[in-house]
Amino acid sequence: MLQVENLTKLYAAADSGGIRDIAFDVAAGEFYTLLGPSGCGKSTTLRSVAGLEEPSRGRVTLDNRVIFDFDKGVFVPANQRRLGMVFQSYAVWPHMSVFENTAFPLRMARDMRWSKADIQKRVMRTLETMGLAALAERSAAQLSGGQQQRLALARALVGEPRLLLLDEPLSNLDALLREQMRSELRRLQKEVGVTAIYVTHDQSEALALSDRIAIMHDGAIVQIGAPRQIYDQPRNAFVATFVGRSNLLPGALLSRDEQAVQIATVLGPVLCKGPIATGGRAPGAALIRPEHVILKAIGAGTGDAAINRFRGRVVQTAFLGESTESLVQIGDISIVVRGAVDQYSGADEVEVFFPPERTSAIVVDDK
Amino acid sequence: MAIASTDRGAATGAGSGADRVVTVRRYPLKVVILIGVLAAGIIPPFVFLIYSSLHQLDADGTFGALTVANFTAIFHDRALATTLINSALYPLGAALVALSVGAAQAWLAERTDASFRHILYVAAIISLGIPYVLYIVAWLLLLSKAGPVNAILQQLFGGAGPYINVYSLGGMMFVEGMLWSPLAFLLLSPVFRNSDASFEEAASICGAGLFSTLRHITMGMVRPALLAFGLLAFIKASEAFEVPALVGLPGSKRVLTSTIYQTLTLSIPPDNGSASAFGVLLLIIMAILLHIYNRVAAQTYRYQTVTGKGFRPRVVRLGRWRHAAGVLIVAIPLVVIVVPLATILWAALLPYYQPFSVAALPKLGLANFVQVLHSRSFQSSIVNTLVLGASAATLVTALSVIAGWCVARRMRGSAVLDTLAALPLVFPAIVLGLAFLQIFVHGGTHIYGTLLSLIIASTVAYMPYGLRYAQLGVIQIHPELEEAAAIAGARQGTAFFQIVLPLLVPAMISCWLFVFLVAVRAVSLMLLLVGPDSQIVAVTLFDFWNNGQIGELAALGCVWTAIMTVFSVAFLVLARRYQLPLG
Amino acid sequence: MRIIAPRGALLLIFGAVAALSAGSAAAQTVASDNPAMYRGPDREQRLLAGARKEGEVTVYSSMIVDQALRPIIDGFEAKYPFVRAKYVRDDPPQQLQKLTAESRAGHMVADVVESTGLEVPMRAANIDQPFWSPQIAAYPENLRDAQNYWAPTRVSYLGACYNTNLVKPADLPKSFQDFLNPNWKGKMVWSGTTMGNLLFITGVRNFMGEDKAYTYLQKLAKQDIATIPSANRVIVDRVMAGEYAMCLDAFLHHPIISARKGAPVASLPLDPVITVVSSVMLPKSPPHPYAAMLFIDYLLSKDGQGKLQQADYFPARPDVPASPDLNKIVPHNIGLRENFISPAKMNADLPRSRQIYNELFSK
Repeated sequence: MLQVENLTKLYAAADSGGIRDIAFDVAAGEFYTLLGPSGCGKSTTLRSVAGLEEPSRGRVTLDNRVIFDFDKGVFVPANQRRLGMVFQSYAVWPHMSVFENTAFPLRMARDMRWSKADIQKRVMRTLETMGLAALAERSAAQLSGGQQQRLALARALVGEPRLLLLDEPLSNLDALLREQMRSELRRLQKEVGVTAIYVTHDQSEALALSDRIAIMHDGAIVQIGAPRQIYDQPRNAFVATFVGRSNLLPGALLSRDEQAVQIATVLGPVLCKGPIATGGRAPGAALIRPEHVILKAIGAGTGDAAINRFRGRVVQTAFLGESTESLVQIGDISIVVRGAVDQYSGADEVEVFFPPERTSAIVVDDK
Repeated sequence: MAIASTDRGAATGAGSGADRVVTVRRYPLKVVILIGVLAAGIIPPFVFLIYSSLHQLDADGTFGALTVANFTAIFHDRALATTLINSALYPLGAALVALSVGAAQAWLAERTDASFRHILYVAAIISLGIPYVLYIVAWLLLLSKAGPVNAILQQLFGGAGPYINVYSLGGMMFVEGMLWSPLAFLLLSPVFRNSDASFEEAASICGAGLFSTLRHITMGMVRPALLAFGLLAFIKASEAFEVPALVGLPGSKRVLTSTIYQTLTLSIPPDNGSASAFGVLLLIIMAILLHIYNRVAAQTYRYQTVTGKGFRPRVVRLGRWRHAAGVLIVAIPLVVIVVPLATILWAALLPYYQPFSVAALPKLGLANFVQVLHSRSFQSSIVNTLVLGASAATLVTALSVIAGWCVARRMRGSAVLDTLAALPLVFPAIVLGLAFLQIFVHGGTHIYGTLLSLIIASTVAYMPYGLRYAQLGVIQIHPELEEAAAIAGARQGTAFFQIVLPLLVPAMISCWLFVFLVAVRAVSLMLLLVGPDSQIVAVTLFDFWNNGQIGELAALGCVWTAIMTVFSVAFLVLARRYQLPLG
Repeated sequence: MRIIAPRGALLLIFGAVAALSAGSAAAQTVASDNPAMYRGPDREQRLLAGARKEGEVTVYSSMIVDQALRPIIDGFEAKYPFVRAKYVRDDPPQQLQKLTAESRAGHMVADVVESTGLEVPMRAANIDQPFWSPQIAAYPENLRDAQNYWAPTRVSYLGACYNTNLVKPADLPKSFQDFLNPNWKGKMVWSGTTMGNLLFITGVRNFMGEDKAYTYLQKLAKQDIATIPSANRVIVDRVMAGEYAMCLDAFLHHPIISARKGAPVASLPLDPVITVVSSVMLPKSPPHPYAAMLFIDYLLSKDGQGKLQQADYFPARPDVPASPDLNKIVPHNIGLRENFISPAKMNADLPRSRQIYNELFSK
């Protein structure tokens, strides 16, 4: 559905927010997320696709039609791209009613004239889908945050756009509402079948919603993949720490063969048999997720002798409701462990075990 | 599905290649048109003023040879040094008076629990509707050698001579300061209102009492805004004309603005060349002052909407000073507004002016009011003024809204627009009037002396204020609202009319009312331009004073103030509700 | 869309506007049947017919509105109800400024000009045109203009006036020399205008001779006379209000009128009494030429002059005497000489008088 090539936009004043040579594809019906920290350029990319920014280079093709091509001098203005967009501030027009807000794109349609009856039908149907039908005549300024967000969505979808763009739409909601809207959003997108590009800095959101994620950092795309893939096979340390929690143990490469890599960390050698996504570059750290670390009391050993086993002390425990997170001190390093370890506390000495199949070697720097 | 490509474009068939180009390196048409309109308004005054300052004027009114004699004559004038000194001292004193009185009121109203605080606002509202001339005349009557103030002082302290001579530099400072103090109050209240209480609370915890806190903490926090306002008051007083003309000239205290007027009206034939040369001099001084103001003050003195959490303005408990403060609160508007207005009312009810005495009471009557309300020329004066105010306000608002939108959204070329719209600030009103006089007289059009000429001059003069209102209004509208409209398919113009404009309505109304109130109050811009068909109230009042027709002046002034108070109330209510600037 | 550089647009507009400033001479064509100098037997009918069509007339005058200008306007409208008369009251300098501007703009608004001291400047600026009225014959030769550019309307006598509460009759000056009395130091005021102190100075020079006048004025300068740059009328008001004891250059009918209303002021003519005449003039290309002539006729007629009499001015027309109060101070009625300053003389002597003022009196 959407092909972005070589997209570049540089801001003269700021050195953040710019993007360089961004390229990605989005298939029809896909929920595609641009994920990254502030200033990585994800909003710029989205706005360039929307036509709200004018890139300095590149090409964008939507539904087999070129909407931007710098070399050929093509730039279709935003109001002719037939997209839907939900803004971070919702941008709901306060002086109009809910109905009027939703009807606006239909009134602006160029290629066909909508009759009053048709507008009424389409708008009410959309509002019903969003659960706003009862509020149709209310002024948009009187809506709550969640309602405004749904209105913004309704307005974006009413014209049955080819592409739906969402710019951090959940960031202004409180935690509970955010969860609810998240599943709402996912369900809606699948139901309507519209291609969606979603921008967020919240990695749990990205993981939960997306078919594919593009992680961005400093104006470039670092990794593209399905959520599981990105979580299990991060391309580098940045992705690993940004997506999901991780324990990162930097060190030099000790040995390497087809199935395993050994990294000389400060704790000692660590065997990594987990999936490797280094792509030919030299790994520089061992990675294990907190939920994969195994804690045992001293003495109750299993399996292999000293490989990936270390002795430490539990220094802090946090009760998270559905799980417990412990901080285990091994020498100078703290390891985060997630699990049910409430039988350990305080200065208990424990054994920390990194199962090699769950431990990966990853590249540290490079984008 | 076909995509319509450009504004001109027809839908291209499926599968065809690139769409047509929309060049984005262009200057938007609306910006170009606006630049043209504004330039047509503001460039000619510069041209004509400079031109006439460099040419001798012959007896029949035509321009003679190119010469710098007008300028050299200025510098050979013995009185120039005195004039310049007066021109520097007088605004300084006026600014200090306005600042002290205004700041005191603002502090009392916003930061204390003194009683009767809202009286201050009521008084300020009423003052917005009083024509300058009327207010000045009231003080002249009060403070004249045979007036009530001198009479009281002589009773108290004995002695023969009058204690106060109002026709002096001190008198000028006092009257101008009084004239500006209500506006000072209105402009400074937001500053006091918005400063965070926690600083003062911290001082209180440390043991500071009321006056210590006031002196060390409060004053320190508002000092930047006070300085900024002081500078603004200085600039406004420098270009003022009414007080120097009515208060200064009779005492032979000349400043640059009154010198210009004198040069024009006291010499036969009128010496436009010399007046223009003074005008150019004043223009340069104004430009320098404004430049300083922009660099120093504009940063600190910003209108901010109150947002965010944890904000709480603190009301100082005055304790035993509460009643003293209450007295002060009543006394200040009494002195600033009530007493002058009472004087005017007194003068309006007497057949010819005499100071207040019980003996004069039987002579009170409504004759002057009857005359004003029945006289054709007064009625047309009032009508003309309303038309002038409404037209200028409408034109300024319409132009500013679009220009403000272009500037706030940083469209290409909007920097030029911003500069052009702000240029009239550099003209003191009397100089702008002089420049427009030249234009209308020598320009070959027949609009000299018509109401249209006044409307044009007012529109140009008040564009800067309009633009500021519009800009602030547009800034309060999130750009994403327009972007959402664009995504929804609206063209930029449609988005402007359907989204931006409806949301700008409060700012537009405030702008309209402000320009209206200012346009009808000032004399100096209109003084040289009015003709018999375009008499306006402010100039009529000025003429009355010069002709000694005090009773009619007072009666017309009362009627007019009553009408204007309605407008100023509306303005104040709106400005506070939508947190828009008041000056 | 084409690329338009804003600077280019600016220059275009600048140029267009600057070109406009080249200005065109006042090119209103004078009507071929200009009634101004018409003397035919059907003059009256012509004027009436023309005025009927025009329907209005605008009069610029320096007379006081309430006392004189309004009654004259009302009287004219009563006689010719089909003409609406508008008036504009200004002091002579402002009048001249407006007239010059209007003339230069090619857009004359004034139909008739009645003023004091503008005769020569108007001529020099070429604003006025000659006219004839049958009423002029009633006026003495010495008060008329040989070239027909103006006709006399009223006579004004310049003298002192004083506040009756502040000055006892015994202390009143009896001659110009008495003003030099040290008792008067700091108590006198005069009007800083062409028709005020400058006229006083011209008058003094005229009757004392240049040298004696200069010596006199030097001494007078030591009396700290306050100068107020407002019209004579306003100075009288100040004296009335008690701010000053004596003013030197009042038009003598002003204090008399005010005294009649109960104000504590009185006039003081001193020999010789400076006398000037005010006149009526006709601008070129007035918007309503017929109504203008009709008004001039009225102003110069017994009827119009009678209004001036009732208004406590001194009518210039010999067969319309001033009101009884005022008649008392007409110089030849009280044995004083007239020091007549003609418009031409006033204009000719003005520069030197101004020079003397700047030298001796201005701070």
